[in-house]
Amino acid sequence: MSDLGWLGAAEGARRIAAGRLTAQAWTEALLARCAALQPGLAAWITLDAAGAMAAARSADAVASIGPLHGVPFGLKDCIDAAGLRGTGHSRLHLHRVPGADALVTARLRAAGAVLLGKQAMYELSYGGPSFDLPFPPARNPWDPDRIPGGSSSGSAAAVASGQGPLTVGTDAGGSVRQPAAYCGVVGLKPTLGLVPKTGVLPMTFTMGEPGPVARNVEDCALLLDAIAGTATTATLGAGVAGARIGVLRSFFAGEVVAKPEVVAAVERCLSILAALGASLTEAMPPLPHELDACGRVILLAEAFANHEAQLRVDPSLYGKLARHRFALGAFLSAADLLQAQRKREVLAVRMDALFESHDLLVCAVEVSGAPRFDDTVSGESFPFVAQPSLRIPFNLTGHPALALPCGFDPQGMPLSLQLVGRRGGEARMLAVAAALESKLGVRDARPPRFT
Amino acid sequence: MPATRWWRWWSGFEAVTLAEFTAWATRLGLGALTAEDLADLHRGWLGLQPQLDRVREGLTPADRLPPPPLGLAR
Repeated sequence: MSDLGWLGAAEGARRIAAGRLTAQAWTEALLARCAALQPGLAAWITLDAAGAMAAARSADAVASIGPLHGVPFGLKDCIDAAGLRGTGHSRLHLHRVPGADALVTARLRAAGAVLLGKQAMYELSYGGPSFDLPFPPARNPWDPDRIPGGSSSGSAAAVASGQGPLTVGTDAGGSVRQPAAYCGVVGLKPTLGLVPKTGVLPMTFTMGEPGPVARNVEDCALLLDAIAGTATTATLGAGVAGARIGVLRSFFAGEVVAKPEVVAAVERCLSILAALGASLTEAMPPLPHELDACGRVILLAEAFANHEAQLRVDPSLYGKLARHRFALGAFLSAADLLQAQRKREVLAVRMDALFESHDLLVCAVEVSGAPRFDDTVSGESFPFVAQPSLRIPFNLTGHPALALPCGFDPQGMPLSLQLVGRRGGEARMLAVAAALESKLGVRDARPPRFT
Repeated sequence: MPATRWWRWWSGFEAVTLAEFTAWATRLGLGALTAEDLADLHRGWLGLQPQLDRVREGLTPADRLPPPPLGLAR
């Protein structure tokens, strides 16, 4: 396997700009690696070798136009690329070929980036991991018997296994952060409304949007800047000193109890942040169960609204998990949704209040490393009725949240810290994450089976 | 079936049986779902009740007014 598989976006773009690498050579190497790893990891639904090589040739034909010039990237299969099949990993859209790019796709192409193809996901962002769909589920590069998380499952699996430095997923209930955490890569859910959803197959209306996945914070910031028009890379070296960090202990060692290795990994991060000059205090957010319940009702109601017509006519076109999860919202009342939306505003105000005395909040992304495919929870239709999500709260309140690799469990599976910023506070959050990443010793970690 | 009974299910006040849930699904236009689907959905619905209780309780009219209809100033 070529080392170009592990080349980061920022470094690769620098080499291209300096004339030490061509986009064609990088793209060709990645396409070969993607094809070779596909039987074992199933990270892709559609690889566009011809389109990617044509884009790479175009990039090589002109001088560099910016920090993503000639950089290969992938897209979750619910994000449109003109002329390229976009299925949402569903039988429902098996032959759907959009005529236009999603806005994020167009922005990346305009930045000179090279689209490799479309990546596997949970069906229509909600149903997975499933074995009753037209495409197999993606697998975790750290242990292919374990799930990569979802719903941006192929996106995280691809980046984690050196099948491209960057990808764009979507996150309406943790769908970027969970797979990023399980696969040991960086994943960001931006501030609600920051990244346009135009050209993205919707799962919900008000809970999420596209977000970047990368192997390190610098590349994540580059990708965010390209799709959101932010300038987070300019302040990435700002560091931690003086940062006021609130610890959401109820999210991992209180109302929600994470596994001891997760708690230990978070505590290690807190020690490093303190050593870097941050001041740490306990923050008292709304209860995780309360945030989760409110977000869950809204997700279920909006997902059903998206799929009501199809569920009435022929629900058999969905896989079992998507069919069940989409249908459950039918049983909610209008009053349930209205109450949840009212409560959402109350909870968001309470979460905003935490940022009066803190610059950032931290907690775990998940309560454990990735479970196995044959774990009972992995195949259940409604695992969420037993344990509150640690990610949905920030979809609900709209705050940006980042999954940052921070260690491994005793089985060698990645663990992840969640950093939460104030609305529009991605630059500060990424600067702290970059400083922490530099001390954790897990940046750009490679799964042993796929080095 | 008395209307109050529907309300009692909907409010989570009384656990709905699978047969009642199946009839409810049909009324909602989901008659194409299989018996296996409905059994799983029924379990999911019962499991969701504690979360629904959290959403239904704890708010007072003074907490936050819903947004006004379109076209009116807040």
